[in-house]
Amino acid sequence: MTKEKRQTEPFVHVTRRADMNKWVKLAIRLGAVLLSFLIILIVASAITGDGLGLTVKYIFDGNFATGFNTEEMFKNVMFLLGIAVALAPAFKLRFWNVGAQGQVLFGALCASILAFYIGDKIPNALLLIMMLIVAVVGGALWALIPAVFKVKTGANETLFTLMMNYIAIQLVACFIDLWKGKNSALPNFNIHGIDSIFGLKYGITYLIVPLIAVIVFVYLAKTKQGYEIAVVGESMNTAKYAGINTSKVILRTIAISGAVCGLIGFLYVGNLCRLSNTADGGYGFTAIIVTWASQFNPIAMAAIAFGIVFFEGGAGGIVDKHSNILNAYFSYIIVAIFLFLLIGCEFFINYRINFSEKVKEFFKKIFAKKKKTQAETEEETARPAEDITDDKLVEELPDDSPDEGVPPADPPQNGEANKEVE
Amino acid sequence: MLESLTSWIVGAVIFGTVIMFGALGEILTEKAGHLNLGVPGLMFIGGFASWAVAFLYESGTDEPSKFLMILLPLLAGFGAAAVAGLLYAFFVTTLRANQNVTGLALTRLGVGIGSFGGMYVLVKSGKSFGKAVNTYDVFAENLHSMFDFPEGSVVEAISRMLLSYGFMVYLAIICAVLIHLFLSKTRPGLNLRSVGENPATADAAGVNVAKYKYLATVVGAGVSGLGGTFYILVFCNGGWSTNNNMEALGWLAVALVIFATWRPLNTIWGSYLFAMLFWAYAYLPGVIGLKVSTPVNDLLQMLPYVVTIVVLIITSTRRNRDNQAPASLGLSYFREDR
Amino acid sequence: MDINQTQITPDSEEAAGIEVPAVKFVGVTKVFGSIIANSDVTMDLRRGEILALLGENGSGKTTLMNMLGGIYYPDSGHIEVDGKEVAIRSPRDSFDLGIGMIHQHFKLIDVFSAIENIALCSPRGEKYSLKATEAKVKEICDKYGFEVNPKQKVYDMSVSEKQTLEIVKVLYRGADILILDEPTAVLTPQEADRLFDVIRNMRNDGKSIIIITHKLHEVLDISDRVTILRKGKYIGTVETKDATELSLTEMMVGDKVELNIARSEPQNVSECVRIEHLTCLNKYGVKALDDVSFTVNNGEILGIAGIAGSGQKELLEAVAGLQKVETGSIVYTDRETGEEHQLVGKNPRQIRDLGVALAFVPEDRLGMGLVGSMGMTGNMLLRSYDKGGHIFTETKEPRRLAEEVKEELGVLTPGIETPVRKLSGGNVQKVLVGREIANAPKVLMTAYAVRGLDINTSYIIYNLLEKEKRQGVAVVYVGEDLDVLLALSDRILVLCGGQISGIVDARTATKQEVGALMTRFKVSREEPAESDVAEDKEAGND
Repeated sequence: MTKEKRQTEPFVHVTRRADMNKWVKLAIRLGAVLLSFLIILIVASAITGDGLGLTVKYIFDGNFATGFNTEEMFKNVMFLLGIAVALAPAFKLRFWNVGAQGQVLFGALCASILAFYIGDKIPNALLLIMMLIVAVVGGALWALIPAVFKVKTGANETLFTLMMNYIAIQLVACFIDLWKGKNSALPNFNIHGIDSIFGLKYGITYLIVPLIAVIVFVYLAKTKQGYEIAVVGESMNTAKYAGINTSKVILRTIAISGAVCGLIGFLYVGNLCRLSNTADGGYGFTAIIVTWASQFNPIAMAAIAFGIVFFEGGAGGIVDKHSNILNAYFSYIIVAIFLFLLIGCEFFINYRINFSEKVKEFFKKIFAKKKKTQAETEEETARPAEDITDDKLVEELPDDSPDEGVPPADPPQNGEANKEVE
Repeated sequence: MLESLTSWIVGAVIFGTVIMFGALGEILTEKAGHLNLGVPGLMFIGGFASWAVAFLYESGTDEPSKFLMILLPLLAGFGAAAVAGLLYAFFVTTLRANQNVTGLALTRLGVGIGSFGGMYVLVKSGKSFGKAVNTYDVFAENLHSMFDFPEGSVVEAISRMLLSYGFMVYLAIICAVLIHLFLSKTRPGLNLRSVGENPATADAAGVNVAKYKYLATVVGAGVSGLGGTFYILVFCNGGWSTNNNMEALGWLAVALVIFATWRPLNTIWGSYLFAMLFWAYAYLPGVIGLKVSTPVNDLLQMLPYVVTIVVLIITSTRRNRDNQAPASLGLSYFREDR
Repeated sequence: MDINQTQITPDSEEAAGIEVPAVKFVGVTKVFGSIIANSDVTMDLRRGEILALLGENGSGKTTLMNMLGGIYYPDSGHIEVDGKEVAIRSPRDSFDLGIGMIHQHFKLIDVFSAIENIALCSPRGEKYSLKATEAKVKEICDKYGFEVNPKQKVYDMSVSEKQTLEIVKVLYRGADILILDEPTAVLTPQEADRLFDVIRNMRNDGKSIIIITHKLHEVLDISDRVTILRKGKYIGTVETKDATELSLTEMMVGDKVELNIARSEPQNVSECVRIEHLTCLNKYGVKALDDVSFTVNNGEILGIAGIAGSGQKELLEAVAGLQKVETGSIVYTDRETGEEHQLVGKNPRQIRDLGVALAFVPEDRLGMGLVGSMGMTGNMLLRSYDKGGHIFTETKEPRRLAEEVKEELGVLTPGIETPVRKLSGGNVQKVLVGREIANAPKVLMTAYAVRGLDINTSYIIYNLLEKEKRQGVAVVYVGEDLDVLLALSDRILVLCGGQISGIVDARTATKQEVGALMTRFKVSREEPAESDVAEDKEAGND
């Protein structure tokens, strides 16, 4: 038996938090957003060689410089929010629906089939309504396939829905190839798309998506079916105990999730009058993170969706000014930085970091000697970066750095009020 | 027909090797209880890093050394993906972030870095076209080309099927065997499996859970990254492309882990089978002697995903305790939870 | 037993006077969220002694030991081993200090074989060879008389086989300091005796042992000294030879609590639930209940005794409509209308729709009875959320009910909307029991209703059950503490291996009688079955 001398206590140990003031939570999340903005500025400026101020200008230009940019931004927010809303019921059920892409595509495909074959044979308004219906039903059916197997055999839904995306992509590709014939690209359908209202191109979309969002959140929070979803999501056993038919709830909820995805697919086809493999706008996966990070808070969901699209548009703005050295994938990196900080900050909400006395004293000494700004500390900790993965490290370290960690470690309320007798 | 079949198999082995690396890395990661949905991102990062190093090295030296042309891309691909794996491990192990969400964010980051970086390197080096030609030659060197079998003969076909590949194809098989031996015959392997099955028990047994989670995820990410290396340097003949096939391949690797029921040796044949299915649309018509239209080709390309789903369903119906995913897969571990 | 004690105790006493303690806790405090699990605990373990750590459920025994085992780290205070201050950051640190802990919940990997589980815990630096491990395990097994099949997977093992494996694991590692956390909770009395023999042997080998328990007779039987914890605080340490059950109880419980439960004579007893030839399978397809027949009566408390996993869970869940029934019938008779309903094949909602007022307090409170992320209001809704015709949930009535339960049962919560997951075990149980009783049930089934609760809360629960019984409700009480079962119930049904081994009158039955019934019919697949019965008889002869 080896007996080493161990006289030091660990520098840091982490404990789970009882509860946290909602304002502190909000502050942490906003802090993460600000920090991500800062990192994005630094990364982007480092690559382009622009000053920070100029980069900020480009980011805003990318979103607001022209009417087209602004319209694109709001449209994208709507599509991303729409898919995120669609995923909310599934996630409340703890059903990992990562198949939004497939469900949107299949809904769009169903609507397109109608538009292609009978687009010029029936009145346009009737056609659009029919397209809406088949898209919604199609999305629901597509989502039901993995749900049925989840219920019947317990097949892992994360991987199942993931695979369903690619099957949908191939299906859409098949129809596009079938329809385009000898053309190099698929021409627009011979239909009159969704009308614009208020002089806005996507007017109807701006009405429908927020409406659906409200309906879905009222459904989840206030209805009996929403209650069932919450119970099933928390514990299957509790649901059975309460006499809830869990299979029915799963199938119903996932069908709803898929139906809303299908609706988004319809909005895509209805607005653009064509079909493509990117009908989900690439938001199928991003929406998962939006839904998860928003914790079923509709305002947070809209805010995060806006944040992602804003950074995406901002990246576009930077790329526009430097199209010789940047390409569109630059926005992936920018958005990923935002997403990682959003994901990482949850830690500080759920856990408390306790530093040992030695570490505390050490920090006290340092802070007494020279007051550093937050940014400086970050840069210092970001030293050991390697060439290629520079971006990644820069973004990883701030979470690690004590600046983020210290404020939550001194909790405003210590739960003294709810001391309990065991 | 023999010609088509041979080409199909040869193509499948090359393509399958990409998936095999991805899946082997993911098996290591999942054995630590981490479902890393960032595999596509890791492959992009690995592929990009290898290509960038190979390209910069051979265009920067007059007489590139063969040894370095092999070593540098491998190290770069493995290392860069491992660093990305470290990021994932930090989030899910230390910050206890949700694994699915972190993985998807990693995929986004990886696809971004890979696709953006490729162009960035080209622009910075002042070239519009970037093929690591010499490196490709080294990576594609094989025994088959040393023999001179008569065209169209069975011997030639067999030689092609077995010997016409660069060293990484065999490296993948060796990796599979090594990982198998590691998991089944060594103490760290036993410890790693225990971490994925039940971290609390492993912890109580004195296994450093965080260390194993980190190491398995980082090394696993590196191995997955080699899939990207192989994809760019061999499958794409050393040329950078932002072809989205790599993302699809990443998801296939995740699927292959299930298909292989978390056993490394199964990935060897599983990956080739997946690749044959993936390329069925290109070769099957030739083999059965039919001409197939483009839309049908599109449908044939679904096959690997359909097969994965079938496997998913079959493994979920069979309740064999030994063929299941690691029990703690997807869950974060916090010792002080009670 | 007595001879054994008088031989050992003076030795260890003498030795302890000179030596530094093997382990010393100094002012150790551990807090979970807003719950103080240990508060400023100072205690020691001497070399070569068996120390019983006594306290009620929830008194902080396990938390304290987990800090020695490296599972938790103290918030303040420190631990000394062999007189040196140590920081035990992980179980590995704990091993390196020669500490071995046998947890209450087995720390085994289900898909590993026995030998792989042992190899996982082998000492640092040992060469990895399953063959060598197997040989060494065989040596240990031969020395102590254990039976371990090295190739057997844990998921194929019975409870006692798993416990054996746990002990062999620690012995294999050769720990000097052993901690056993309620090792007898899942054992039959005979198996427990055998375990105690092993523990004594280890003590005679010079090892220091802490045994966590809340069973007084075990404390008196095995320990040299007793340390008592109460509500996370250190109360005192006494020499076992100077202690009596009464003195220990006083220290453990604090203020003298009336241990007798005011049991009323059953009134208007009539048949409520008749169960005939009930057979159910557990999730692994093994018979959990085997041809069980009995009745539950109105106005009576039926206690159900049995070692853990004898079919109690399946029995209650079958009645509640949660467990699939293979064969047999469960007939409910309404005591007012006389209507009869067959409950087999119906789910909980169908049973409720029949007008069967059935309340069920399941063993797994947050995993089955309650929704942890919801507040009291949301949880009050669980049984009644679908009432009324419209699609929206009704919140007024559950909120009123939540307030009522909070007031009447004294639930300590910051507010009725605070997620119940954040409440302590006792308060969670009050919420659950409060809701179930609020529905004016005619049948009330409770599974381990007082597990993990302090004595005052336990009494609140006992009184509630007694009150329900007086109102004519048919009460089923599944319990583990025989004293409570004997004091609370009218009749006690004893389950053993999924079969009924007897139904006794709780007013006349003795603890020994019930204990013997608990081990009577052992399932043949478990190896020690026959020897158990044999020992049982011997014990009876004594």
